[in-house]
Amino acid sequence: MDKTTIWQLVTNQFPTKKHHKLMKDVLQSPQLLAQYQELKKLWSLSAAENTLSEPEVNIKYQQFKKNYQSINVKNNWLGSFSKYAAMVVIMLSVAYGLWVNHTEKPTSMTVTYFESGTGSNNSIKLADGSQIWLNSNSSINIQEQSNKHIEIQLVGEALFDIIHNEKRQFTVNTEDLKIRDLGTRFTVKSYPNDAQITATLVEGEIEVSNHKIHETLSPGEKITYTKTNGKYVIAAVDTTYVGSWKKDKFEFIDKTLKDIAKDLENYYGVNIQFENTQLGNERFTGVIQKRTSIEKVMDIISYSAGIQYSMKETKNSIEIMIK
Amino acid sequence: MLNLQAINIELLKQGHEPTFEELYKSAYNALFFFSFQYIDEKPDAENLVQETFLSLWTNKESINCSSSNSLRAWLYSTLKNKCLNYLSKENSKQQFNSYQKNRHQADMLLLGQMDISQVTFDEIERLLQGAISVMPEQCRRVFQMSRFDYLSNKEIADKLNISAKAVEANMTRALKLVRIHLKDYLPIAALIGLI
Repeated sequence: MDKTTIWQLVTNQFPTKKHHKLMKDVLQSPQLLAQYQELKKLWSLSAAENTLSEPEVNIKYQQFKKNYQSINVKNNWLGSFSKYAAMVVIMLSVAYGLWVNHTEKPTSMTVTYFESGTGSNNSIKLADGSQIWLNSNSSINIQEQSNKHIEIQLVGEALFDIIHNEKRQFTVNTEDLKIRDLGTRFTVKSYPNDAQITATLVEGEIEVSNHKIHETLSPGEKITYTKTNGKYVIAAVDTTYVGSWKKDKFEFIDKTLKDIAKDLENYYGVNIQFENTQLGNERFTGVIQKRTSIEKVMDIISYSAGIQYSMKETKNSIEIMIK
Repeated sequence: MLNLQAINIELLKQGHEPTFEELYKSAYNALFFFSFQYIDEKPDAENLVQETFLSLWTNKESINCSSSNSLRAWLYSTLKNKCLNYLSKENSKQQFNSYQKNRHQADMLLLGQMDISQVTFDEIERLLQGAISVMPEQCRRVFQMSRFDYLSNKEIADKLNISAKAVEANMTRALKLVRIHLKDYLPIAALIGLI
């Protein structure tokens, strides 16, 4: 293997399969490995590519500052930023003994709060292995009571992958709806600025309720609840792409541009306007990598949907006008 | 290459926020590029960069940096250690196949031995300076304005009072000279964005 090949390997210029094969050879030869490491060191220090555009770095800084301040305020923070970017975790473990039955352990309550900022999504694992992914601009408050009762307050969007436990109650509370899980995988979307709350069930069973509604959803069903009039519909949906946001992808399945704009606003922290409001009702289907900059995403959408847009950066935000 | 020459280190040490902001914005992409070469999970790679900045901000009074080069070395070293910790933790915890484990181990070895002293960057700069010194004068001016002052071709044309075409021609010539001069340092030529 010559130096040029190793260089191409370091700079990721081969398709995955070939890359793996060559890497295996490199890892087996001390000489090749030494060369590989030398080149990789230089390459990683080179700053050869800018992943984020200037406005995107500005947004990152705003997030950094926000998180830094919130950490300052809550002086009981744990270590550094916790596992994921733009996420603050505060855990309060309060043990209050209900020493009724002395053979039982005291009941303890754990409160976990975490939030994700613009342009990030985070995940948290509960003690029993259940997992929750949080989409951008969302926050979640988890109250765990001795594994018997888990109560969640959600603002924004989250995907739940819950391990069923008959002895435990698992409830997600949103602004207007209560969702009780019976061992499942489901998403809930409830952003304060959205007119609707939705819950989509992938596997298992959930119960959706408030003072008027009491519905049980089957897999592949989605409930859309309108906050202003309390009306709701349950419809069958394709769940292939449900939760694809946690994989660093945007899913747009027959979505209106208006809704897409909302998702982009949440993720990139930009402001999107329509010159002609009719355009907002046009529908669009596609999956886009989130690693892509907002400019690229807009280029892809404008190309596929046949629209024009302009972008303007002001001091604190990026304004996008769709024409 | 990360260049922090515009940063006033004294102000930074005193906790001057606009200076910190300037530093953050000039260094973010370079640091992320580094961590993303070793950490596959993008949110984690980003988070290590954020932690590095946080660490700088919390320790700003006590960091032992007098020049922009030592500040750069401080940032990379801190991030490097964070990457190393992350990899050793992840590698023991998660279920990776043997190929991934080997790759992580190779990277950990590399990071463990990596000495981000000034020397690395000085060497890169020395090589570049060597290449620049053999350029004809106009060629050199154009090259320096483009690479170090980050001026656009049009701005350079206005400043030197020459046509945009002439700027382009000089840039091509300069790059060719650099490539010839650095031909034994192929990666280094790419390092400064010439390939």
